[in-house]
Amino acid sequence: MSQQSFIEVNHLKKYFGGGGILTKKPFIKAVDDISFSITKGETFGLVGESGCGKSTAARTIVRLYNPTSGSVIFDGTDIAKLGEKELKPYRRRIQMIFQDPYASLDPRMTVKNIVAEPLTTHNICAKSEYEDRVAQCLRMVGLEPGHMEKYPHEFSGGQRQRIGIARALITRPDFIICDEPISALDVSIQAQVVNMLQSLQEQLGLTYCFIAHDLAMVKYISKRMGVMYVGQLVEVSPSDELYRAPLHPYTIGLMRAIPIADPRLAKLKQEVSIEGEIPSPFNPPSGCRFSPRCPKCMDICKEIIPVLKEVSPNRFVACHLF
Amino acid sequence: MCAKKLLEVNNLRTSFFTFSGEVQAVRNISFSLTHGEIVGIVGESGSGKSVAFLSVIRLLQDPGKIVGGEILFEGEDVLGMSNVKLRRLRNNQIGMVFQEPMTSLNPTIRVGTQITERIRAFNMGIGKRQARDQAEKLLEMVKLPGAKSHLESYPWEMSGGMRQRVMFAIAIACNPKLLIADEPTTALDVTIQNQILKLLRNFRSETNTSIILITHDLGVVAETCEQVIVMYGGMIMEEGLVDEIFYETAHQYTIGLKQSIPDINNMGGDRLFSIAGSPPSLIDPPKGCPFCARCDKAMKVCLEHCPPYFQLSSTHRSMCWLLDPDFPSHLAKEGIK
Repeated sequence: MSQQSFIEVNHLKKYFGGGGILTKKPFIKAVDDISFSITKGETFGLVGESGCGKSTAARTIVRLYNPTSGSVIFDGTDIAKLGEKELKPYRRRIQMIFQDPYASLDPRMTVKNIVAEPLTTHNICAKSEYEDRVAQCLRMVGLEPGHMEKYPHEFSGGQRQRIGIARALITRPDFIICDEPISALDVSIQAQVVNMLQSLQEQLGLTYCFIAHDLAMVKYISKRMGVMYVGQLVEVSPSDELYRAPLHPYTIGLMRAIPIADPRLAKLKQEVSIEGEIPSPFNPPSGCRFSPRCPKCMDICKEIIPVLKEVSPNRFVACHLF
Repeated sequence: MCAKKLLEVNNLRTSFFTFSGEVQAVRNISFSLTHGEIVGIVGESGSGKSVAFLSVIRLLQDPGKIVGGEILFEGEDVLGMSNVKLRRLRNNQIGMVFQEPMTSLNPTIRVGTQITERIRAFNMGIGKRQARDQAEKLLEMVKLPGAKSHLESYPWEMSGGMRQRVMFAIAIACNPKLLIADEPTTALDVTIQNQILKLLRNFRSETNTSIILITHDLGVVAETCEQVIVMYGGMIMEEGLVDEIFYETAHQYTIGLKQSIPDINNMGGDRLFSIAGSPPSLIDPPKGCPFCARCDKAMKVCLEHCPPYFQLSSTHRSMCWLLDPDFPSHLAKEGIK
């Protein structure tokens, strides 16, 4: 990789639970040893099914959760180990957009107060400037500054998501984690929000980590992407190559499961589906986590966890087949 | 059309009477359904697709009322049915699968009991033991792994996909003639969605049950349905066979909807097509075409008069003024916007 990476996640782990004085409770290994890097101005996609740990990974990277171990190098500094005080300037540079535009905005605050809140928290500017800044951000996301005194319930889902994005933009961040920003929206509104995120990226030089389970959308927006399964990354690859020729058996199954909006192509599609359920991260299978559902499972898969390795330039796979 | 109609809906209108006014959720929709057909109902949230089918089995809740129209199930008028008859209809003829399997199953009752409850409501004479055996068979039919042991489980002990299978088992317990599935896979992951859709297709080919699949996902429709109804603003915008809807798309809204999905096989650097604006308010619905405010090709007539249905083939119809045979097609590119 010639380009300097902007964010580098190394062997990040986040376990929940555990402890107990008399009986040792098991850990939930929500994120178990993941590593990837994102270059400046890039969009990195993270996909996976529910419970695979993609949201936990995102929250651990922005330090909403404290990581169990591992490091997150942001612009040369390891933010995983910083104390709350030292972290504060970084919090301003890393923002997050949440999934549910209904739950992530306080219904009792006006739009102006919601969007201006980060300014107060980070003491960015004088109170007299708030209104100008908020108006500027609202315009950037395609809302009228006149909406400032309204409350969230007066807006539709798509508009609320725009308010959430305005709130993330107001601190002028470098890096935004978008945690399923469009999955609660209707198809025609999804396209509006995605287009807006892309033009904001071009205008402001933002770096995105885009999390979703809609694979078509992730492929559309990101150059490189990672596929997660039960807390681990199974494949990291440039998006178009991942779609053209997926390598990991899980990725292959996932691609085949996406419904194609084209009846003739859909009929040609092979009727192969991944059987079984996603294992619980409480008690993941030994060895490769996908082994119980894998059509190509070998003996070694049940014993040894495969590590992510580069099989061809820029393509990483964690599978014993490679 | 020699086949007898299973379901016929004529000029159905449903409204919700709220404090802020009458919300006209379903405005004059008509369609029919024959035996053994899978029909996909596509629309965004608020397009009236769920309300329309809750009206069909008269499960609407309070401020909602059927204001007008006619619903015929195998020739029998559903709106005029007495409660006893209606109950029999829901028990014996129609199965329903809802979107959120957590809220539609009772979390305090074991799964086995919830299934046998349905079986015994449908077949009064059946004994407890027999009903239990049947419940086990149903769970095997929906391919729930370890069917027998799950009879004793509670819904909250199961994953989303497993719960949806249980819902499905309850819905088919009475060998229904019609299965209404309201967003059955929206809350599920793609690999699980794939399994459930396969189950639906197999069930149809084994039993010749008609299935109404309500969804917002065009991909799901393309893979599962034979006929498609596109709804918007409480009305049917376009109806036709799946190939007609996807390859001979007639309505501007359907075209927009199709283009807002990124094409997975074709990576273009350009922007996604998006339909500007948002759906109309149904408290005070637009006088003309419900889509005209967002349509690129809207004409003056679209604002004032709601277009009639133009029949494009024996199975394909659409309401859009552009399809009027008298419309000068060389002007098609100029909208009033």
